[in-house]
Amino acid sequence: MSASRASIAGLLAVLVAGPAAAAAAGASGPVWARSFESIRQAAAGVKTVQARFTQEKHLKILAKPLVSTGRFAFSAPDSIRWEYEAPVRSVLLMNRGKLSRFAFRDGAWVADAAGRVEAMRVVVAEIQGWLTGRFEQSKTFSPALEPGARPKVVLTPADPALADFIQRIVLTLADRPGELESIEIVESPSARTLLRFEHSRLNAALEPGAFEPPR
Amino acid sequence: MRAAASVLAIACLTVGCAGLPELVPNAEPADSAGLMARCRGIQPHRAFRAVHAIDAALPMDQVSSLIGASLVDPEQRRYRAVLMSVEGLTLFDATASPAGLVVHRAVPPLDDPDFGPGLMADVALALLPPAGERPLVGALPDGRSACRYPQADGGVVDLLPAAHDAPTRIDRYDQDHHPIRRVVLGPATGPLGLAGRIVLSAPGLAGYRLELTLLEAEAVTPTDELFTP
Repeated sequence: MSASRASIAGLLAVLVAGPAAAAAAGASGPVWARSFESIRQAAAGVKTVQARFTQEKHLKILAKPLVSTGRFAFSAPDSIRWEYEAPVRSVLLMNRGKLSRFAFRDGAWVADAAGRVEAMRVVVAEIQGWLTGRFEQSKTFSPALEPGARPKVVLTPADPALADFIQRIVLTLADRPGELESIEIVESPSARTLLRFEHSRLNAALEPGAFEPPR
Repeated sequence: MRAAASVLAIACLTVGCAGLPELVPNAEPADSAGLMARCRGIQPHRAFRAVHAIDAALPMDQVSSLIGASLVDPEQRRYRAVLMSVEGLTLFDATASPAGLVVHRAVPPLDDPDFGPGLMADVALALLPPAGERPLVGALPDGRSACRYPQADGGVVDLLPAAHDAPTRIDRYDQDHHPIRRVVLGPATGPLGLAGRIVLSAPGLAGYRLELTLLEAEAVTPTDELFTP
């Protein structure tokens, strides 16, 4: 296990778990949003995280956003389960760094080709990159930390060609250290995705096989 | 070679490998008028937007779950289709109209030049009334009633309204009258009359099967702005 993956997963845990995760890491409010280094430090005590999420897909041609819901699980150092329960059942797994995706059809889980789509790999790889806190080292995005009542990390594409697909990504932190309010991925003026996390549990026991292919 | 023959046989069972079946015209004008009315009722004639869950069975035993959003303006014969991953990533976005196809966004590998036209043709076949005002109407050799729409490219689209124990079906043939698509529509649902489930099959070694489940739909005023990026 590389140190970078451990750091990625730990930071993800803090972002999703909210203030409890930060408290477990010994962070304080003002320090939390002061630098990327403080974010990494806050992740140190997090072993597992579970949370629910709501995803809104906003499109110009839709009168109202398409809402998806699901749950998230993380285990340090590098295992993630990103499960959509409605309206389409799907599971994205990263188990010790290996990415796979499964779709539920005809009453059973089957391996999904989307897990092999390069774009999906790029997205997941970028998510990992954001969560390491090594924003300055990214060859893909230029980061900016915006302090305030709701501190934000704004990521803009370093390569203009990428801006055709993703204009910016905004991680909005709550006023308490470590708490993430939302992740917004802006693809274009008429297309964006908003993820909100809630009901997070920190360092609780995970279901057995949480990061194994679903059955 | 044996495997290829097996795949072809399965494709034939699914879509049919016979050529364009003969259509015996109705003898009674009243029967023709009634059949034409039933064919016209298969797809909505007012503008709508819809969201579908899509289960795709692709070549090489690959499967994928996707979400599709569509905006359809039958009167102007223009439509916009957006294909998304479950995670919300917009993979493909395009508008088609009599003026042509405009791809707003295509994430690799969906940026292949053949992908956009093929996808949009499938969307049109499933959601738009066929082009052509004067179909031939009658009965196919198996006894099912059908409306036949000759297409500008030399191809043919057959609409088969639901029969006693058979669902509504749309068959498309190419200019050589080989079957290239089959769409089976489930019962209509909601005030728009859209099918709750649509299954589209493409035969052949590179064939695929798309199962669309309607998640939501509503009537819309199709302003030009909705069809632009």
